[in-house]
Amino acid sequence: MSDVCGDELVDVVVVGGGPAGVSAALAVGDAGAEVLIIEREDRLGGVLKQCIHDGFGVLQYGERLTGPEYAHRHVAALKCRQTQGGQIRVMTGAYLHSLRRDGTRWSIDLITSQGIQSIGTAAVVMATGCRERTDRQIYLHGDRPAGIFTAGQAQRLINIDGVMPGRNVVVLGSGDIGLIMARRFVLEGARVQGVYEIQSTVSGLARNVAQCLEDWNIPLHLGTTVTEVHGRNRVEAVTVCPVDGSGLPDHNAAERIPCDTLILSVGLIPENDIIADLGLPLDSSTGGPAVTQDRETQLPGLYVCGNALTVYDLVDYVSECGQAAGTAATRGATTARSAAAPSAHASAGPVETSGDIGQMVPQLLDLAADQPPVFFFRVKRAMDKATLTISRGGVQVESRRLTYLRPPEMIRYELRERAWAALRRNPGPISVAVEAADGS
Amino acid sequence: MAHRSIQRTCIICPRGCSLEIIVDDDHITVSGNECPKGEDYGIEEATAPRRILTTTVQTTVAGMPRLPVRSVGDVLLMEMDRLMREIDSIVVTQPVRCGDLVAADLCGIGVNLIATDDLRPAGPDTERGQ
Ligand SMILES: Cc1cc2nc3c(=O)[nH]c(=O)nc-3n(C[C@H](O)[C@H](O)[C@H](O)COP(=O)(O)OP(=O)(O)OC[C@H]3O[C@@H](n4cnc5c(N)ncnc54)[C@H](O)[C@@H]3O)c2cc1C
Ligand code: SF4
Repeated sequence: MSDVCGDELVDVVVVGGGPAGVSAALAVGDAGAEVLIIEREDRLGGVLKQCIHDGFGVLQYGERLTGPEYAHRHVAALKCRQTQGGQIRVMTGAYLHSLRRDGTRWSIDLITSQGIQSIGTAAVVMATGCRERTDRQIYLHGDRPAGIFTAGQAQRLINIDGVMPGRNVVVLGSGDIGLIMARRFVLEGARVQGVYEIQSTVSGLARNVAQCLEDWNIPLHLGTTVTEVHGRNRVEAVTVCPVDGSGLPDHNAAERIPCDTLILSVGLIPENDIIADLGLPLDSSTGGPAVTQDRETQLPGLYVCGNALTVYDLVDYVSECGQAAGTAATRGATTARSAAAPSAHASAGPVETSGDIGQMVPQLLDLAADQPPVFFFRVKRAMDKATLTISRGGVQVESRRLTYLRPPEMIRYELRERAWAALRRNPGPISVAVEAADGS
Repeated sequence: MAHRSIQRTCIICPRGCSLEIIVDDDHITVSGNECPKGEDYGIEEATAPRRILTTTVQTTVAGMPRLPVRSVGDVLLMEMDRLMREIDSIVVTQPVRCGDLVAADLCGIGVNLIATDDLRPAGPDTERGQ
């Protein structure tokens, strides 16, 4: 990579070599521009490398691949494109430290084994993934003995390092990674006492409850939480308590469960510290910045995709998101080269959500785009039947019946051509709503 | 065993019917299926469910102590413990490629294991930052 130096201008820089970043880079390569992927680890693939279970790529490849197999296909596609002359370069062991707007371009500072290095680029695609909520971010009494891990840390220890974090396990939180790790522990011969979830519903996908817990007779305790951790050097037990309707623990019903390990699966947070430093506000419902359907933020030339934007539950959607960002970033970079680039925002309007929509991307719509946008949203509560309506200035342009909506399952909705044309034509604010139908 | 009810999503075709499987002693009824294949799947889920086995095996290759593997095709859930015990003793000493056979006919029940990632000596698969 000796040709990349401070003075050089790369068309597009992609930060993060997980499925979102690799998809973005492939899209840039396809569009004929040059792209550089920056990845802090030694290998591409992101978190997929440790997700050894199957179920990835059903939509994209029509197969249930494991995480490493999915990543392997991505990297193979990248290598294939490189040998065909695509200007795709990859720099591993490089950590994005900061970025700043520098006139009409972006300037990026990287930390590598050689020190700090700067690169100039017309467009930056952030694909930095998400991180896990930790014990410091939840309400937990007691000491902090060894033996408390996030589900992702345990996943990495077992699947990559070959180290068992413990033998007698309690899982707090019913996120997908927690469910998957409960099964993984049992398969490796450990005992899993149960999965404890403070809410009255599971936060992971129904298929993971069936295949990870029911298959292995792992008890699931809804409306129950861990209130205290016992043990001086190592976890010796936890206290679990049922909670009432307002989430307060009923200490009279507390139970002490001996264990040596507490696994936390209490949520994922998009990784955006670096761009938050730029003063870009984050959407409180997604945890990522507001973007257009091109995944462009309110700072021209800065794109965010994958789990850094919003936590997706299917890697296929992550890749689709990365691809959209890469395609748009190439367009942005090539116009930026020729003239003062009109950002998508010149023609973008905010989208208001209402009813039972909990979170949605994109939050902004570029009305100059010819292609209809695709919405990804989650609902706040379970509904068997609901109606999705999209309107502008009070005029409804789309109405659709949706069935079986569940908060853990993200819904992908592609606007129809006719509705998009109407939406672009009408004046006024744009709104998207989901309302339960038939009192479901 | 008496009465139990199992909810499953049929995975035979993309329609993904929501099945309700009721087991009454040795009598099984499946509902919610749009076609007969769903009934067969429901009965199998209630009696002898099959799953892909995914795990890791030990390696002696520096920098990559575990190699992720999976079964070729699905295996009976009830065989998994036995298979895992046999997999415990596997040690891979040579580099392999994603898709390569790692072990054949485990436990003598015709289960083959393949690698789900490349196994090669430590070092980045790309140019390193410099
Ligand atoms: C622990 C964990 C387990 C998961 N398990 C599953 C699962 O089993 N099934 C599932 O469908 N989804 C799972 N997910 C969700 C999963 O993140 C997505 O499916 C998908 O992998 C996200 O892709 P991504 O490219 O957005 O992010 P990632 O795959 O996380 O990739 C982000 C990449 O960016 C790099 N990076 C971050 N910051 C920097 C920086 N400053 N400089 C340079 N590089 C940087 C990281 O090293 C990483 O390689 C899991 C998430 C986590 C956190
Ligand atoms: S029951 Fe039939 S139609 Fe329904 S998902 Fe299964 S195979 Fe498809």
